[in-house]
Amino acid sequence: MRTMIKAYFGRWLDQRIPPSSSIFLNQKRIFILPTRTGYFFILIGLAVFFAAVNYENSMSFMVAFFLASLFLVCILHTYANLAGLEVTALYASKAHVGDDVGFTLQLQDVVGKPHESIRLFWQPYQVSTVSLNPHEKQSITVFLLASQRGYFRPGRLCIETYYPLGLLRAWTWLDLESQALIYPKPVACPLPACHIASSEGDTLAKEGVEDFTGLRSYQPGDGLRHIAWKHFWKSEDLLTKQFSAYTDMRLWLDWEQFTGASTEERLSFLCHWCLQCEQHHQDYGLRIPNVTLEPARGPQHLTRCLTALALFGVSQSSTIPGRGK
Amino acid sequence: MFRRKSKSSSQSSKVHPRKHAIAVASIPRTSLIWLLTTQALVLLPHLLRIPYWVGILAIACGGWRIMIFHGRWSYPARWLKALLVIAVVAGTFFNYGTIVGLEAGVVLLLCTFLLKLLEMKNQRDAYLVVFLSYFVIVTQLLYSQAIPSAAYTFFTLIVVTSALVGLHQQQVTLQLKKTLRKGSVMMLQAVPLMVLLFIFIPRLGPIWSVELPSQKARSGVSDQMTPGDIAELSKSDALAFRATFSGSIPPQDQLYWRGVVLSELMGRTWRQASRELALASRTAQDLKLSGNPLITWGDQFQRWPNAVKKQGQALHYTVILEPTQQNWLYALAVPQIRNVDIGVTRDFTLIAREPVRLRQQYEVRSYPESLVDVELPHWLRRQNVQLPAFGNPKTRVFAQQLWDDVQQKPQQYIDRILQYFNRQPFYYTLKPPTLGFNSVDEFLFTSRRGFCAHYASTFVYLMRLAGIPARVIAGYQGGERNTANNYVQVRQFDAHAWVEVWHDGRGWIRVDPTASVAPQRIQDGLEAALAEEGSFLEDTPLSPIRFKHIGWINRLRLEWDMLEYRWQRFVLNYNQDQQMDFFNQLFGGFSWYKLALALGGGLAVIILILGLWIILRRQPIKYDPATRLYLRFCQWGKKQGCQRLTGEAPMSYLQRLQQQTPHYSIWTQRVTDSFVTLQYNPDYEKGTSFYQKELMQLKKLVRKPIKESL
Repeated sequence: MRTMIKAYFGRWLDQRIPPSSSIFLNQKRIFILPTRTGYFFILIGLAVFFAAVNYENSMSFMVAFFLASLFLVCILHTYANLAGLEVTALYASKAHVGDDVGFTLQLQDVVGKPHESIRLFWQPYQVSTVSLNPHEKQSITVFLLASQRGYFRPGRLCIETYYPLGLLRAWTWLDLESQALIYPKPVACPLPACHIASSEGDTLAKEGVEDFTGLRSYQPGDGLRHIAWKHFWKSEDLLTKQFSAYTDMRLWLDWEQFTGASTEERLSFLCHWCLQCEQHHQDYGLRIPNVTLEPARGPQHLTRCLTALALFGVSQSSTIPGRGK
Repeated sequence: MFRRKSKSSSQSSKVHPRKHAIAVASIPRTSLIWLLTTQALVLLPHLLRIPYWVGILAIACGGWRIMIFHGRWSYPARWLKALLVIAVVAGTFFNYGTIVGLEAGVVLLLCTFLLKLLEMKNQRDAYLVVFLSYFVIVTQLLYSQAIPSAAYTFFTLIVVTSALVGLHQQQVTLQLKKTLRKGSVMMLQAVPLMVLLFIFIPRLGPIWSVELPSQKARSGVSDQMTPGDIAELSKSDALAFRATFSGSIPPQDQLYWRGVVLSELMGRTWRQASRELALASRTAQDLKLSGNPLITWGDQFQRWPNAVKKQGQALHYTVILEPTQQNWLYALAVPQIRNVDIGVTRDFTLIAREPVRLRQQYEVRSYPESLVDVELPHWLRRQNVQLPAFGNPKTRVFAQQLWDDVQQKPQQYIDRILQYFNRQPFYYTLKPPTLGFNSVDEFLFTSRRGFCAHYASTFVYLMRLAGIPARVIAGYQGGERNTANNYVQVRQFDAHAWVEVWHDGRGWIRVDPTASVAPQRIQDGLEAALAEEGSFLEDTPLSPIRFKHIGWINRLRLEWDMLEYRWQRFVLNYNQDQQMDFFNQLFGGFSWYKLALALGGGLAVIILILGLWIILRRQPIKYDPATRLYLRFCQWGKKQGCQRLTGEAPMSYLQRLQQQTPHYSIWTQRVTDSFVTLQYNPDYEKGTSFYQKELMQLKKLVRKPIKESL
């Protein structure tokens, strides 16, 4: 029942506030309801009213009616505090599963009003608060627990405010179409020793300039010096001479090394070793099904490796629907 | 109070984590300052009335809280808190003999409010303090609703609202002005809605009976009079009542506000003749239920058709009576009333169903020329000629001689006595000598000093000695006239006693013996009568009424009285009846449908206006002075046909501008240079003298474009 209601609410919300990378907050997108404190406040107002009735005290009537009026005025103020903001998704940080991933948003006031104590969160445990002056623009990063490997869509962002009196909560759920790349969680493990050094017999070679290994068809960008001109005169086929440098003792991080482990475990182990190698300035290559990355090092290489691990078994287009909670 | 704490913490663990987050967030220091200020302000007006130890508790709790705030002390231990609670309850019981009831209840509420200081830890506690503040404000209003009190309430409501705003601001430093501003704005915006609700929300009668806060002492004229009583009243300048006439105000010497009729003399004391009536009003029960035959709750002209002969013009007026804790109401002679809760006695005075504990408003028609008791019933005659059998021998002889002198003609007898008062050296004074057992003898022949009560009682004594029915009337005489607004303001020092004498064929006729001694008392009031003696309000040297002769003080006082009067009449007395009258006037007959329409329509209009104001109002972008000047320069450029593009750098704009307007190239160059220097040169930080100088320079430049001759 609960899930059904939730699903229905989600569909309704998708229609009402369709996903977009930049959303302007107006009456169509803002919800407002009293908080528990607000209900308590109403109760206090009623108590004062009955005291006024029984004591026939005009000024107490005034106070009771003042409380009621203040509540009504507060509705307008709470709404106005949230309305007129434009929220734009800027970028997302990269993170490992189990870490906090930060989504950076830009909040801008476009109606010339101050906005005080605006709370933003994807998950209740990490609330970012921001205040804006009229016409101000601010970037703010909202963190969220990265729960799934691959492209991670955090679901709807909640933006809420209790200002000025805490009697009402104005809020909205926004789908900002942002996504973050989540790497596997690094898990320490011993690296099977036999695979550290690759033998000369391995065909794994890097393109080099030392020994001639054969010919292949010309590709734009190949150096003129390497073109097999003799062959060209004979057959009019443009071929490039290939040379290779054997890279003995190079480190290969291989899918096959971790036999007996599940897919996710393997990815976690590989991730760990990529990070370790990078930290110790050691060249490393990565070989997982369908992807082979030649040994190298440096931040770019690391990113390539981690991305490959993150996207293993995940089709590029598929997104993971998931709500903040 | 302390139990609530543990309960709430167990509750909060179950709630949704987000709600939890806002509920248990600790109170920021800035909010704490707001809360402490709120408590101090809310408590202040109570301090004069409540036991002194509450004040000590307030200082102790406040001090402790400040030490916690500085991190020097910690929150009190559980046993100490329990001890404090027990001490407070015991203290209240010691002071009031009970821990229930209004007064004790208020003290307990205040103590709860104070002790909360010592365990105010999170946002939820802060809310509780704010909400308790509203209650404390209301309890203060039960004691006083006067204009100063209302104004103070208004002020505290602003502070309480601001404190609530402060609780929700994301701030590290105290932004006093900003917070107070927001609170005040919200408060002021709430006022029109409040007024609308005040006028249109239908008022109910009390749902259950409550103990009303009372100044325990009764005030006003008492139902028995020993010479000397009224002198006490004359020392007070407190307001007794106000009467607003719908026509013009009758002359001053016609304003005899009858309160109680005293016809029985016991020793030296005059009392109400009817034991039943006196007892009923003293035991403060519901008189209407008592079925007293001497009171009618309907039309007295029908109930006692032979007693009163209605004639002459009616005076129509409304009285707003201050609380007296007594049953009788004041009215001019022969009142007729339409209010079901007010009865008319056989003596034709007004009596309320219950003692007047709250300010009461009633509407009266009086027929001053009517004849009353032309046929005096036997029992009433007997009541009004009754005298003690013994005492005052000299007076008895004196009366007998006089009665014989005038050949037993009542009217001449009366005139002779009044003449006697007038010609012999009688003095009107508020400080008469004390009289002994034969008080009438002493007064008539020895001391000859006294005030209205002496003259009235002596006069009635003399009448009754001659067998003429006579009685003492206690009430007020005169009052301060406000002719512009047609009302009379009667104060306690206007209290007076006079006489009614019965004449064959004419009924009861008013005689005021005081007028023979001190005619100023009747014409110009007490102050004039006491001008020589200087004893008018001598115990209250600062009373504004003493400064009547200083023009501006008197004007100010009258203006203030006026304001207070309007406040009472239109705001404080706006009850069920008033509301119905108002609806009848407004809608031409009451109907729920029209009321709902007025209320709903009014609310909608006000909220719409407020909404437009709050939601649509925009603040213009605030630029720094240099940018403002530069934008003015860009405006000039636009006029020359070269508009600055959005985001265009000053230098590239300058290039385009110079191509467009070559005649001004030096000027445009200088303006742009100056602006760029101000914006980007680190030596020209804001606030430095360089900055100021350069800004002046730019200002001068922008003011007037300089064209160079080619």
